[in-house]
Amino acid sequence: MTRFIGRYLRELVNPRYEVRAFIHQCYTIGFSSLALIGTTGFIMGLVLTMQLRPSLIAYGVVSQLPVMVSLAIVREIGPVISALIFAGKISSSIGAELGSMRVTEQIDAMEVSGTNPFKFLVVSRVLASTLMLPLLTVLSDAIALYGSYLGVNIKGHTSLQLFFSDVFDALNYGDVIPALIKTFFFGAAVGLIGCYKGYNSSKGTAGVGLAANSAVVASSLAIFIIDLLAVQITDLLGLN
Amino acid sequence: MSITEKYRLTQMVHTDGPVIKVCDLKKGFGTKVVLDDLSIELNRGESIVVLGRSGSGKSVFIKCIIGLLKPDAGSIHVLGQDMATLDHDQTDRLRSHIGFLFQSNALYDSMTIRENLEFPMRRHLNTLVREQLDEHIIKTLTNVGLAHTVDMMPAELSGGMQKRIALARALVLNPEIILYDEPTSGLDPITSKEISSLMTGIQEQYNTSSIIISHDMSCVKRTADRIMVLLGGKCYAMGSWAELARSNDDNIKQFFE
Repeated sequence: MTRFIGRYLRELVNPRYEVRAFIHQCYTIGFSSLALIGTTGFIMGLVLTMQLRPSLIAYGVVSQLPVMVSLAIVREIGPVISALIFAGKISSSIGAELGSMRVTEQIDAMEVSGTNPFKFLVVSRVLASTLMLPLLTVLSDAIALYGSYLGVNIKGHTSLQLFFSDVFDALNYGDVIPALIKTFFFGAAVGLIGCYKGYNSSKGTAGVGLAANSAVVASSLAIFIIDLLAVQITDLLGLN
Repeated sequence: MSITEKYRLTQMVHTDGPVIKVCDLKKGFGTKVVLDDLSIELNRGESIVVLGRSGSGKSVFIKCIIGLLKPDAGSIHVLGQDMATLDHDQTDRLRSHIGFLFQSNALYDSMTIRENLEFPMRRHLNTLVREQLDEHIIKTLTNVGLAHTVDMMPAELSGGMQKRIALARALVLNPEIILYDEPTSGLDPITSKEISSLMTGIQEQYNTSSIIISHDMSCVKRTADRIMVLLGGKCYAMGSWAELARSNDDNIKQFFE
Protein backbone atom coordinates (compact mmCIF):
# COMPACT_ATOMS: atom_id res chain seq x y z
CA MET A 1 0.00 0.00 0.00
CA THR A 2 2.86 2.39 0.85
CA ARG A 3 4.43 1.76 -2.55
CA PHE A 4 1.04 2.27 -4.18
CA ILE A 5 0.64 5.65 -2.45
CA GLY A 6 4.21 6.58 -3.42
CA ARG A 7 3.49 5.71 -7.04
CA TYR A 8 0.26 7.70 -6.92
CA LEU A 9 2.07 10.81 -5.68
CA ARG A 10 4.78 10.38 -8.33
CA GLU A 11 2.30 9.87 -11.18
CA LEU A 12 0.16 12.75 -9.89
CA VAL A 13 2.86 15.33 -10.61
CA ASN A 14 4.39 13.75 -13.71
CA PRO A 15 2.92 14.75 -17.08
CA ARG A 16 1.00 13.61 -19.11
CA TYR A 17 -2.20 14.61 -17.30
CA GLU A 18 -5.35 12.66 -18.00
CA VAL A 19 -7.64 15.70 -17.83
CA ARG A 20 -10.59 14.11 -19.69
CA ALA A 21 -10.52 11.02 -17.47
CA PHE A 22 -10.30 13.23 -14.37
CA ILE A 23 -13.29 15.37 -15.39
CA HIS A 24 -15.26 12.25 -16.23
CA GLN A 25 -14.46 10.78 -12.81
CA CYS A 26 -15.41 14.03 -11.04
CA TYR A 27 -18.80 13.77 -12.69
CA THR A 28 -19.17 10.04 -12.01
CA ILE A 29 -17.94 10.15 -8.43
CA GLY A 30 -19.34 13.53 -7.41
CA PHE A 31 -22.63 13.78 -9.25
CA SER A 32 -23.62 10.16 -8.68
CA SER A 33 -23.19 10.55 -4.91
CA LEU A 34 -25.11 13.81 -4.71
CA ALA A 35 -28.61 12.44 -4.08
CA LEU A 36 -27.48 9.80 -1.59
CA ILE A 37 -25.30 12.15 0.46
CA GLY A 38 -27.89 14.94 0.30
CA THR A 39 -30.66 12.64 1.54
CA THR A 40 -28.48 11.26 4.31
CA GLY A 41 -27.53 14.78 5.35
CA PHE A 42 -31.16 15.87 5.53
CA ILE A 43 -32.18 12.87 7.67
CA MET A 44 -29.09 13.33 9.85
CA GLY A 45 -29.96 16.97 10.64
CA LEU A 46 -33.62 16.25 11.25
CA VAL A 47 -33.06 13.22 13.48
CA LEU A 48 -30.26 14.84 15.47
CA THR A 49 -32.49 17.83 16.20
CA MET A 50 -35.44 15.69 17.28
CA GLN A 51 -33.21 13.53 19.50
CA LEU A 52 -31.48 16.48 21.16
CA ARG A 53 -34.60 18.54 21.79
CA PRO A 54 -36.00 16.62 24.82
CA SER A 55 -32.62 16.64 26.58
CA LEU A 56 -32.13 20.34 26.03
CA ILE A 57 -35.66 21.06 27.26
CA ALA A 58 -34.86 19.09 30.42
CA TYR A 59 -31.84 21.34 31.05
CA GLY A 60 -33.75 24.45 30.06
CA VAL A 61 -31.45 25.33 27.17
CA VAL A 62 -33.62 24.50 24.18
CA SER A 63 -32.68 27.87 22.66
CA GLN A 64 -29.18 26.44 22.20
CA LEU A 65 -30.48 23.73 19.85
CA PRO A 66 -29.25 25.39 16.60
CA VAL A 67 -25.84 25.95 18.20
CA MET A 68 -25.43 22.36 19.35
CA VAL A 69 -26.71 20.84 16.13
CA SER A 70 -24.57 23.04 13.90
CA LEU A 71 -21.39 22.33 15.89
CA ALA A 72 -22.08 18.60 15.88
CA ILE A 73 -22.85 18.52 12.18
CA VAL A 74 -20.11 20.79 10.89
CA ARG A 75 -17.30 19.55 13.12
CA GLU A 76 -17.90 15.84 13.23
CA ILE A 77 -21.08 14.15 12.12
CA GLY A 78 -21.33 15.77 8.68
CA PRO A 79 -17.81 14.94 7.51
CA VAL A 80 -17.73 11.45 9.02
CA ILE A 81 -21.19 10.31 7.93
CA SER A 82 -20.69 11.75 4.43
CA ALA A 83 -17.32 10.01 4.19
CA LEU A 84 -18.78 6.69 5.33
CA ILE A 85 -21.62 6.91 2.79
CA PHE A 86 -19.09 7.95 0.16
CA ALA A 87 -16.86 5.00 1.08
CA GLY A 88 -19.77 2.57 0.81
CA LYS A 89 -20.73 3.85 -2.61
CA ILE A 90 -17.49 4.91 -4.27
CA SER A 91 -14.82 2.69 -2.76
CA SER A 92 -16.77 -0.48 -3.55
CA SER A 93 -17.60 0.72 -7.04
CA ILE A 94 -13.96 1.61 -7.79
CA GLY A 95 -12.76 -1.69 -6.29
CA ALA A 96 -15.23 -3.72 -8.34
CA GLU A 97 -14.66 -1.76 -11.55
CA LEU A 98 -10.86 -1.93 -11.47
CA GLY A 99 -10.96 -5.52 -10.21
CA SER A 100 -13.14 -6.49 -13.13
CA MET A 101 -10.86 -4.63 -15.55
CA ARG A 102 -7.86 -6.47 -14.12
CA VAL A 103 -9.53 -9.88 -14.43
CA THR A 104 -10.67 -9.26 -18.03
CA GLU A 105 -7.21 -7.97 -19.05
CA GLN A 106 -8.54 -4.49 -19.82
CA ILE A 107 -5.75 -2.94 -17.75
CA ASP A 108 -3.17 -4.90 -19.77
CA ALA A 109 -4.92 -3.78 -22.96
CA MET A 110 -4.54 -0.15 -21.88
CA GLU A 111 -0.85 -0.66 -21.27
CA VAL A 112 -0.45 -2.28 -24.68
CA SER A 113 -2.27 0.69 -26.22
CA GLY A 114 0.46 2.97 -24.92
CA THR A 115 -1.57 4.35 -22.04
CA ASN A 116 -0.29 4.42 -18.50
CA PRO A 117 -3.19 2.59 -16.81
CA PHE A 118 -2.13 3.76 -13.37
CA LYS A 119 -2.40 7.39 -14.41
CA PHE A 120 -5.56 6.89 -16.44
CA LEU A 121 -7.43 4.76 -13.92
CA VAL A 122 -5.94 5.35 -10.49
CA VAL A 123 -4.73 8.96 -10.47
CA SER A 124 -7.93 10.28 -12.06
CA ARG A 125 -10.14 8.40 -9.56
CA VAL A 126 -8.16 9.20 -6.43
CA LEU A 127 -7.84 12.88 -7.34
CA ALA A 128 -11.55 13.08 -8.16
CA SER A 129 -12.59 11.47 -4.89
CA THR A 130 -10.15 13.70 -2.96
CA LEU A 131 -11.75 16.82 -4.42
CA MET A 132 -15.36 15.69 -4.60
CA LEU A 133 -15.84 14.56 -1.00
CA PRO A 134 -15.19 18.03 0.53
CA LEU A 135 -17.71 19.54 -1.89
CA LEU A 136 -20.24 16.84 -1.08
CA THR A 137 -19.63 17.35 2.64
CA VAL A 138 -20.28 21.09 2.39
CA LEU A 139 -23.50 20.33 0.55
CA SER A 140 -24.45 17.63 3.04
CA ASP A 141 -23.79 19.99 5.98
CA ALA A 142 -25.99 22.66 4.41
CA ILE A 143 -28.83 20.21 3.78
CA ALA A 144 -28.42 18.76 7.30
CA LEU A 145 -28.76 22.24 8.79
CA TYR A 146 -31.88 22.81 6.73
CA GLY A 147 -33.19 19.45 8.01
CA SER A 148 -32.42 20.62 11.51
CA TYR A 149 -34.36 23.85 10.89
CA LEU A 150 -37.38 21.76 9.84
CA GLY A 151 -36.85 19.56 12.95
CA VAL A 152 -36.90 22.63 15.20
CA ASN A 153 -40.16 23.74 13.60
CA ILE A 154 -41.93 20.43 14.11
CA LYS A 155 -42.52 21.17 17.77
CA GLY A 156 -41.70 24.82 17.94
CA HIS A 157 -41.35 27.86 15.78
CA THR A 158 -38.22 29.58 14.58
CA SER A 159 -37.75 31.61 11.46
CA LEU A 160 -35.18 30.46 8.88
CA GLN A 161 -33.30 33.73 9.31
CA LEU A 162 -33.12 33.40 13.11
CA PHE A 163 -32.10 29.76 12.94
CA PHE A 164 -29.23 30.37 10.54
CA SER A 165 -28.23 33.51 12.39
CA ASP A 166 -27.76 31.34 15.52
CA VAL A 167 -25.88 28.75 13.46
CA PHE A 168 -23.42 31.23 11.95
CA ASP A 169 -22.91 32.96 15.31
CA ALA A 170 -21.96 29.58 16.82
CA LEU A 171 -19.53 28.57 14.09
CA ASN A 172 -16.07 30.00 13.59
CA TYR A 173 -13.20 29.22 11.25
CA GLY A 174 -11.71 26.84 13.83
CA ASP A 175 -14.82 24.70 13.49
CA VAL A 176 -15.16 24.78 9.73
CA ILE A 177 -11.62 24.68 8.32
CA PRO A 178 -10.19 21.64 10.17
CA ALA A 179 -13.40 19.72 9.48
CA LEU A 180 -13.13 20.58 5.81
CA ILE A 181 -9.43 19.73 5.62
CA LYS A 182 -9.98 16.26 7.03
CA THR A 183 -12.54 15.50 4.33
CA PHE A 184 -9.76 15.83 1.71
CA PHE A 185 -7.91 13.07 3.55
CA PHE A 186 -11.10 11.00 3.84
CA GLY A 187 -11.64 11.35 0.09
CA ALA A 188 -8.04 10.45 -0.71
CA ALA A 189 -8.24 7.40 1.56
CA VAL A 190 -11.49 6.20 -0.04
CA GLY A 191 -10.07 6.61 -3.55
CA LEU A 192 -6.67 5.11 -2.76
CA ILE A 193 -8.04 2.07 -0.95
CA GLY A 194 -10.68 1.39 -3.62
CA CYS A 195 -8.08 1.68 -6.38
CA TYR A 196 -5.49 -0.37 -4.49
CA LYS A 197 -7.89 -3.23 -3.86
CA GLY A 198 -9.24 -3.22 -7.41
CA TYR A 199 -5.98 -2.63 -9.25
CA ASN A 200 -4.26 -5.47 -7.42
CA SER A 201 -7.18 -7.87 -7.42
CA SER A 202 -6.60 -11.45 -8.47
CA LYS A 203 -8.30 -14.86 -8.19
CA GLY A 204 -10.76 -14.23 -11.02
CA THR A 205 -14.34 -13.13 -10.46
CA ALA A 206 -14.21 -14.08 -6.76
CA GLY A 207 -11.36 -11.57 -6.45
CA VAL A 208 -13.60 -8.81 -7.83
CA GLY A 209 -16.16 -9.33 -5.06
CA LEU A 210 -13.42 -9.53 -2.50
CA ALA A 211 -11.86 -6.30 -3.80
CA ALA A 212 -15.18 -4.44 -3.54
CA ASN A 213 -15.94 -5.79 -0.10
CA SER A 214 -12.51 -5.24 1.43
CA ALA A 215 -12.34 -1.76 -0.12
CA VAL A 216 -15.44 -0.67 1.83
CA VAL A 217 -14.26 -2.23 5.09
CA ALA A 218 -10.75 -0.80 4.85
CA SER A 219 -11.99 2.65 3.74
CA SER A 220 -14.47 2.86 6.63
CA LEU A 221 -11.78 1.92 9.10
CA ALA A 222 -9.36 4.41 7.53
CA ILE A 223 -11.96 7.18 7.91
CA PHE A 224 -12.21 6.59 11.68
CA ILE A 225 -8.43 6.43 12.05
CA ILE A 226 -7.95 9.66 10.09
CA ASP A 227 -10.71 11.26 12.16
CA LEU A 228 -8.97 10.23 15.35
CA LEU A 229 -5.68 11.68 14.13
CA ALA A 230 -7.41 14.86 12.93
CA VAL A 231 -8.98 15.40 16.38
CA GLN A 232 -5.60 14.95 18.05
CA ILE A 233 -3.92 17.36 15.64
CA THR A 234 -6.59 20.07 15.96
CA ASP A 235 -6.38 19.64 19.74
CA LEU A 236 -2.61 20.07 19.67
CA LEU A 237 -3.01 23.15 17.52
CA GLY A 238 -5.50 24.56 20.01
CA LEU A 239 -8.37 24.62 17.53
CA ASN A 240 -10.78 22.58 19.68
CA MET B 1 -0.34 6.45 -47.54
CA SER B 2 -2.79 5.62 -44.76
CA ILE B 3 -3.78 8.03 -42.02
CA THR B 4 -1.79 6.15 -39.44
CA GLU B 5 1.31 6.03 -41.61
CA LYS B 6 0.97 9.71 -42.41
CA TYR B 7 0.52 10.82 -38.83
CA ARG B 8 2.64 8.28 -36.97
CA LEU B 9 4.60 10.38 -34.52
CA THR B 10 7.76 8.36 -34.37
CA GLN B 11 9.01 5.87 -36.84
CA MET B 12 11.21 3.28 -35.21
CA VAL B 13 14.57 2.71 -36.86
CA HIS B 14 15.02 -0.93 -37.57
CA THR B 15 17.03 -3.26 -39.73
CA ASP B 16 15.84 -5.54 -42.48
CA GLY B 17 16.40 -8.61 -40.26
CA PRO B 18 13.75 -10.45 -38.27
CA VAL B 19 10.97 -8.28 -36.84
CA ILE B 20 11.15 -10.21 -33.58
CA LYS B 21 14.30 -11.88 -32.31
CA VAL B 22 14.17 -13.68 -28.97
CA CYS B 23 17.40 -15.10 -27.55
CA ASP B 24 17.74 -17.41 -24.54
CA LEU B 25 14.59 -16.08 -22.88
CA LYS B 26 14.05 -17.20 -19.30
CA LYS B 27 10.99 -16.47 -17.21
CA GLY B 28 9.81 -18.03 -13.99
CA PHE B 29 7.30 -17.39 -11.23
CA GLY B 30 8.70 -18.25 -7.82
CA THR B 31 10.44 -21.59 -8.16
CA LYS B 32 8.51 -22.59 -11.28
CA VAL B 33 10.48 -22.06 -14.49
CA VAL B 34 8.06 -21.31 -17.31
CA LEU B 35 10.35 -20.31 -20.16
CA ASP B 36 13.84 -21.77 -20.26
CA ASP B 37 16.37 -20.52 -22.83
CA LEU B 38 13.73 -19.98 -25.49
CA SER B 39 14.98 -18.57 -28.78
CA ILE B 40 12.98 -17.72 -31.88
CA GLU B 41 13.06 -15.38 -34.87
CA LEU B 42 9.99 -14.03 -36.65
CA ASN B 43 10.61 -12.78 -40.18
CA ARG B 44 8.73 -10.00 -41.94
CA GLY B 45 5.39 -11.16 -43.31
CA GLU B 46 5.71 -14.50 -41.55
CA SER B 47 3.24 -16.16 -39.22
CA ILE B 48 4.41 -18.46 -36.45
CA VAL B 49 1.96 -20.48 -34.39
CA VAL B 50 3.00 -21.52 -30.89
CA LEU B 51 1.61 -24.87 -29.81
CA GLY B 52 1.85 -26.19 -26.31
CA ARG B 53 -0.12 -27.66 -23.48
CA SER B 54 -2.03 -25.43 -21.08
CA GLY B 55 0.34 -23.80 -18.62
CA SER B 56 3.35 -24.33 -20.88
CA GLY B 57 4.08 -20.59 -20.95
CA LYS B 58 2.70 -19.60 -24.36
CA SER B 59 0.88 -16.51 -23.10
CA VAL B 60 3.83 -15.63 -20.88
CA PHE B 61 6.01 -15.73 -23.99
CA ILE B 62 4.01 -13.16 -25.95
CA LYS B 63 3.46 -11.01 -22.86
CA CYS B 64 7.25 -10.85 -22.50
CA ILE B 65 7.51 -9.74 -26.14
CA ILE B 66 5.04 -6.87 -25.68
CA GLY B 67 6.61 -5.90 -22.35
CA LEU B 68 3.71 -6.80 -20.06
CA LEU B 69 6.06 -9.20 -18.27
CA LYS B 70 9.75 -8.70 -17.65
CA PRO B 71 12.03 -11.58 -18.60
CA ASP B 72 14.39 -12.96 -15.94
CA ALA B 73 17.16 -13.39 -18.52
CA GLY B 74 17.75 -13.31 -22.24
CA SER B 75 17.02 -10.65 -24.81
CA ILE B 76 14.05 -9.62 -26.91
CA HIS B 77 14.55 -7.44 -29.98
CA VAL B 78 11.42 -6.06 -31.61
CA LEU B 79 11.85 -4.19 -34.91
CA GLY B 80 15.54 -3.97 -34.10
CA GLN B 81 14.98 -2.43 -30.66
CA ASP B 82 16.24 -4.18 -27.55
CA MET B 83 13.20 -4.14 -25.24
CA ALA B 84 15.41 -4.12 -22.13
CA THR B 85 17.06 -0.82 -23.06
CA LEU B 86 13.87 1.13 -23.86
CA ASP B 87 12.43 3.62 -21.42
CA HIS B 88 8.69 3.88 -20.78
CA ASP B 89 7.99 6.34 -23.60
CA GLN B 90 10.07 4.40 -26.11
CA THR B 91 8.29 1.18 -25.13
CA ASP B 92 4.93 2.89 -25.67
CA ARG B 93 6.03 4.13 -29.09
CA LEU B 94 7.27 0.67 -30.02
CA ARG B 95 3.94 -0.80 -28.92
CA SER B 96 2.16 1.36 -31.50
CA HIS B 97 3.79 -0.97 -34.08
CA ILE B 98 2.44 -4.08 -32.37
CA GLY B 99 -1.17 -5.21 -32.21
CA PHE B 100 -2.20 -7.55 -29.42
CA LEU B 101 -5.34 -9.64 -29.46
CA PHE B 102 -6.18 -10.79 -25.94
CA GLN B 103 -7.72 -14.17 -25.25
CA SER B 104 -10.57 -12.48 -23.38
CA ASN B 105 -10.80 -9.72 -26.05
CA ALA B 106 -10.23 -7.14 -23.26
CA LEU B 107 -12.62 -4.63 -24.83
CA TYR B 108 -13.27 -1.66 -22.55
CA ASP B 109 -16.80 -2.48 -21.50
CA SER B 110 -17.65 1.03 -20.34
CA MET B 111 -16.85 2.46 -23.78
CA THR B 112 -18.58 2.19 -27.15
CA ILE B 113 -16.89 0.37 -30.03
CA ARG B 114 -15.91 3.76 -31.47
CA GLU B 115 -14.27 4.76 -28.19
CA ASN B 116 -12.54 1.38 -27.94
CA LEU B 117 -10.88 1.93 -31.30
CA GLU B 118 -10.29 5.61 -30.66
CA PHE B 119 -8.45 4.92 -27.41
CA PRO B 120 -5.07 3.81 -28.89
CA MET B 121 -5.40 6.40 -31.67
CA ARG B 122 -5.76 9.26 -29.20
CA ARG B 123 -2.54 8.12 -27.52
CA HIS B 124 -0.43 7.77 -30.63
CA LEU B 125 -2.13 9.93 -33.27
CA ASN B 126 -3.25 12.89 -31.20
CA THR B 127 -2.89 15.32 -34.11
CA LEU B 128 -5.85 13.77 -35.91
CA VAL B 129 -9.11 15.69 -35.95
CA ARG B 130 -12.53 14.14 -35.28
CA GLU B 131 -13.36 13.51 -38.97
CA GLN B 132 -10.06 11.76 -39.58
CA LEU B 133 -10.47 9.60 -36.49
CA ASP B 134 -13.99 8.62 -37.55
CA GLU B 135 -12.92 7.91 -41.12
CA HIS B 136 -10.14 5.60 -39.96
CA ILE B 137 -12.31 3.85 -37.36
CA ILE B 138 -15.04 3.12 -39.92
CA LYS B 139 -12.45 1.90 -42.41
CA THR B 140 -10.92 -0.47 -39.86
CA LEU B 141 -14.31 -1.75 -38.74
CA THR B 142 -15.28 -2.29 -42.39
CA ASN B 143 -12.20 -4.51 -42.77
CA VAL B 144 -13.58 -6.81 -40.06
CA GLY B 145 -17.13 -6.52 -41.41
CA LEU B 146 -18.62 -4.67 -38.44
CA ALA B 147 -18.88 -0.99 -39.40
CA HIS B 148 -22.52 -0.94 -38.27
CA THR B 149 -21.54 -1.65 -34.65
CA VAL B 150 -19.58 1.59 -34.23
CA ASP B 151 -21.92 3.11 -31.65
CA MET B 152 -22.80 -0.10 -29.84
CA MET B 153 -21.44 -1.29 -26.50
CA PRO B 154 -19.27 -4.44 -26.36
CA ALA B 155 -21.87 -6.21 -24.21
CA GLU B 156 -24.39 -5.91 -27.07
CA LEU B 157 -22.23 -8.04 -29.36
CA SER B 158 -21.80 -11.79 -29.66
CA GLY B 159 -18.50 -13.50 -28.75
CA GLY B 160 -17.43 -13.75 -32.39
CA MET B 161 -18.26 -10.09 -33.02
CA GLN B 162 -16.35 -9.05 -29.90
CA LYS B 163 -13.36 -11.00 -31.20
CA ARG B 164 -13.58 -9.15 -34.52
CA ILE B 165 -13.78 -5.80 -32.73
CA ALA B 166 -10.78 -6.74 -30.61
CA LEU B 167 -8.97 -7.56 -33.84
CA ALA B 168 -10.02 -4.21 -35.30
CA ARG B 169 -8.62 -2.48 -32.23
CA ALA B 170 -5.37 -4.38 -32.63
CA LEU B 171 -5.24 -3.22 -36.26
CA VAL B 172 -6.26 0.38 -35.81
CA LEU B 173 -2.69 1.70 -35.70
CA ASN B 174 -1.66 -0.34 -38.76
CA PRO B 175 0.81 -2.44 -36.77
CA GLU B 176 3.69 -4.28 -38.35
CA ILE B 177 3.36 -7.17 -35.91
CA ILE B 178 0.26 -8.78 -34.40
CA LEU B 179 0.37 -11.09 -31.40
CA TYR B 180 -2.69 -13.32 -31.07
CA ASP B 181 -3.45 -15.01 -27.75
CA GLU B 182 -5.83 -17.87 -28.55
CA PRO B 183 -7.88 -15.94 -31.14
CA THR B 184 -10.50 -18.67 -31.60
CA SER B 185 -10.93 -19.89 -28.05
CA GLY B 186 -14.54 -20.10 -26.90
CA LEU B 187 -15.92 -19.77 -30.43
CA ASP B 188 -18.01 -22.26 -32.38
CA PRO B 189 -16.28 -23.99 -35.34
CA ILE B 190 -17.93 -21.78 -37.96
CA THR B 191 -17.06 -18.51 -36.25
CA SER B 192 -13.61 -19.90 -35.51
CA LYS B 193 -13.13 -20.55 -39.23
CA GLU B 194 -14.30 -17.00 -40.03
CA ILE B 195 -11.80 -15.53 -37.57
CA SER B 196 -8.99 -17.67 -39.02
CA SER B 197 -9.85 -16.48 -42.52
CA LEU B 198 -9.97 -12.92 -41.29
CA MET B 199 -6.51 -13.32 -39.77
CA THR B 200 -4.99 -14.58 -43.01
CA GLY B 201 -6.80 -11.85 -44.95
CA ILE B 202 -5.44 -9.21 -42.59
CA GLN B 203 -1.94 -10.61 -42.89
CA GLU B 204 -2.10 -10.14 -46.66
CA GLN B 205 -3.86 -6.78 -46.58
CA TYR B 206 -1.76 -5.16 -43.85
CA ASN B 207 1.44 -7.12 -44.57
CA THR B 208 1.82 -7.97 -40.91
CA SER B 209 4.00 -10.54 -39.18
CA SER B 210 2.33 -12.52 -36.45
CA ILE B 211 2.80 -14.88 -33.56
CA ILE B 212 -0.34 -16.87 -32.85
CA ILE B 213 -1.06 -18.95 -29.80
CA SER B 214 -3.73 -21.49 -30.52
CA HIS B 215 -5.02 -24.92 -29.61
CA ASP B 216 -7.43 -24.89 -32.52
CA MET B 217 -5.70 -27.09 -35.11
CA SER B 218 -7.88 -25.94 -38.00
CA CYS B 219 -6.86 -22.37 -37.17
CA VAL B 220 -3.23 -23.48 -36.88
CA LYS B 221 -3.32 -25.19 -40.27
CA ARG B 222 -4.97 -22.19 -41.89
CA THR B 223 -2.69 -19.50 -40.46
CA ALA B 224 0.76 -20.97 -39.77
CA ASP B 225 3.83 -20.55 -41.95
CA ARG B 226 5.83 -22.23 -39.21
CA ILE B 227 4.76 -23.97 -36.02
CA MET B 228 6.76 -23.95 -32.80
CA VAL B 229 6.04 -26.63 -30.23
CA LEU B 230 6.73 -25.32 -26.74
CA LEU B 231 7.63 -28.00 -24.22
CA GLY B 232 9.30 -27.61 -20.85
CA GLY B 233 9.75 -23.92 -21.54
CA LYS B 234 11.89 -24.63 -24.59
CA CYS B 235 11.35 -24.70 -28.33
CA TYR B 236 10.92 -28.45 -28.70
CA ALA B 237 10.27 -28.47 -32.42
CA MET B 238 9.87 -25.99 -35.25
CA GLY B 239 8.64 -26.59 -38.75
CA SER B 240 5.81 -26.26 -41.23
CA TRP B 241 2.48 -28.00 -40.75
CA ALA B 242 3.48 -30.68 -43.27
CA GLU B 243 6.81 -31.33 -41.56
CA LEU B 244 5.41 -31.60 -38.04
CA ALA B 245 2.34 -33.59 -39.09
CA ARG B 246 4.70 -36.28 -40.44
CA SER B 247 6.67 -36.48 -37.17
CA ASN B 248 6.76 -39.72 -35.24
CA ASP B 249 7.65 -37.97 -31.99
CA ASP B 250 4.86 -38.61 -29.46
CA ASN B 251 5.15 -35.09 -28.01
CA ILE B 252 4.41 -33.65 -31.46
CA LYS B 253 2.00 -36.30 -32.73
CA GLN B 254 -0.45 -35.67 -29.90
CA PHE B 255 -1.27 -32.22 -31.31
CA PHE B 256 -1.91 -33.50 -34.81
CA GLU B 257 -3.98 -36.59 -34.01
